[in-house]
Amino acid sequence: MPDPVRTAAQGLRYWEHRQQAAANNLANVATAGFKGEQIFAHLVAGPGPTASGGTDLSEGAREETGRPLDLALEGGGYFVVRTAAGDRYTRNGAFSLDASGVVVDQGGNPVLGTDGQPMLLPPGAIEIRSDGEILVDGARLGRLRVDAAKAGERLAREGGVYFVPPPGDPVSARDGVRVHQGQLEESNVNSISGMVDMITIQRNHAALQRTLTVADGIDGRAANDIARVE
Amino acid sequence: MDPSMRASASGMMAQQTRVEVISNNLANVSTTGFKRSRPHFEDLLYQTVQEAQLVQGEDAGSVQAIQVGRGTRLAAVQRTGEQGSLEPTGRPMDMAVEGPGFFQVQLPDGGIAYTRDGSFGLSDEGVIVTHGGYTVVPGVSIPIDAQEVGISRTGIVSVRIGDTSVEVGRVELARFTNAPGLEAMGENLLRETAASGSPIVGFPQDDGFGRLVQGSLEGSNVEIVQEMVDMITALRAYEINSKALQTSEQMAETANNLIR
Repeated sequence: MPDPVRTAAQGLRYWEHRQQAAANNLANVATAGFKGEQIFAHLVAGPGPTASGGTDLSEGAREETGRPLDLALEGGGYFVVRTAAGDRYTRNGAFSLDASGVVVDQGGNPVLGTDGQPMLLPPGAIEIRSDGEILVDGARLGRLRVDAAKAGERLAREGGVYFVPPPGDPVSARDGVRVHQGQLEESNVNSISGMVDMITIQRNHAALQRTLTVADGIDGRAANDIARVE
Repeated sequence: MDPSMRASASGMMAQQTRVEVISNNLANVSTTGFKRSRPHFEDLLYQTVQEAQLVQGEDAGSVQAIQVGRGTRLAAVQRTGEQGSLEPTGRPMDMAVEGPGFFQVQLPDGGIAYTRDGSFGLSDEGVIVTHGGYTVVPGVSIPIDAQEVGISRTGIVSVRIGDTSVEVGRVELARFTNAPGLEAMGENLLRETAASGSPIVGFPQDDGFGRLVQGSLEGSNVEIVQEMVDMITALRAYEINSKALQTSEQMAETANNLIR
């Protein structure tokens, strides 16, 4: 029989991971392009549940901002940004022009076009079509690169609302992905379900604590009382 | 400290900053030429607390790695560039730019500042100055005997002396590749930074510049309803982060009670 104390301890750790994820999700309720973290429990050989991580890739609501370089993606795909650490994926399309006219993200890293190069825009009225085509004063200047996530592949997260692209050749997003100009994708964290989650987490955590105490008490009886020589 | 508590604390600080930005926007709802700011947030570094692993047994398969985030941080506070509405004032020395472009202002230290606030006046020497007394570049002088001052859409300043109309100068504008990168220095003035790029100087209605409107001022682009909605969202988000902090704290207490 598995040791109930160890099983309960494993369970306590699982609920603590859940709480860490819930706290981080709620802290990022106002972070554009943020995707919630999920923690799942697996019943496998060994005591208690084993936790595993995941990303909630559901789409956040799109907020109208009216800024010409605020872009939101509809459908599964990512903008590609060139950082010092390599190319990164992001759903946060709060872009702007830097001092020389290159399209950059919030961190000042250049956003890539389909040719894999940063995009330099001349001054003028910027129009971005739903297929990612960029026009300045009506002249075509290039197209935003939008990569698709391969099915079933989970991308590692990095701070700055970045995801690390999977190894291997990038896959361009299919036709289903649309770019919306003048909009930002809000965080997909729902604060109400986050709140409900935390109640569950806390109750289960407390229940396991009692289980552990009781199991430990039984062990104590066995060790100290049953074996006592009268 | 428990990472979840730190994440919640960062969330509370982020929402506090958001309220500060909103408050400043609301305080400037009637400031001439004011542009509202909006904060942008990003998530912090992630720590892999459990690597991906293969498990054996009845439920064999792989278990995905667990990455735990450390909360959020302020990435940038960005000034928006939307045009404010033009408010007619009837004063001949009030000017508004409709479209891109900033008035240039000569500072006493020799530097140039930029502004969208065109509530100008005349100095004791008859030069067009801001309400703070700084000369508006290029320093157009209005003769004392001028009876009427007219400013065209292209910035040409002309005066009427007796029955003749005389051209006395032309107002210049400056624009930037990345105007939100300008740094606010108070008094409705903005300063050039490495992020904004160098100014491109031209006349109103040149290519890429807006036109001048005499006798009007550009109002603040703050929308009260929008700011109030943002304020409510920020307060709720602050509350929920404090609840998350409480929950983490109670769980820590529960864990402490394991040993009686």
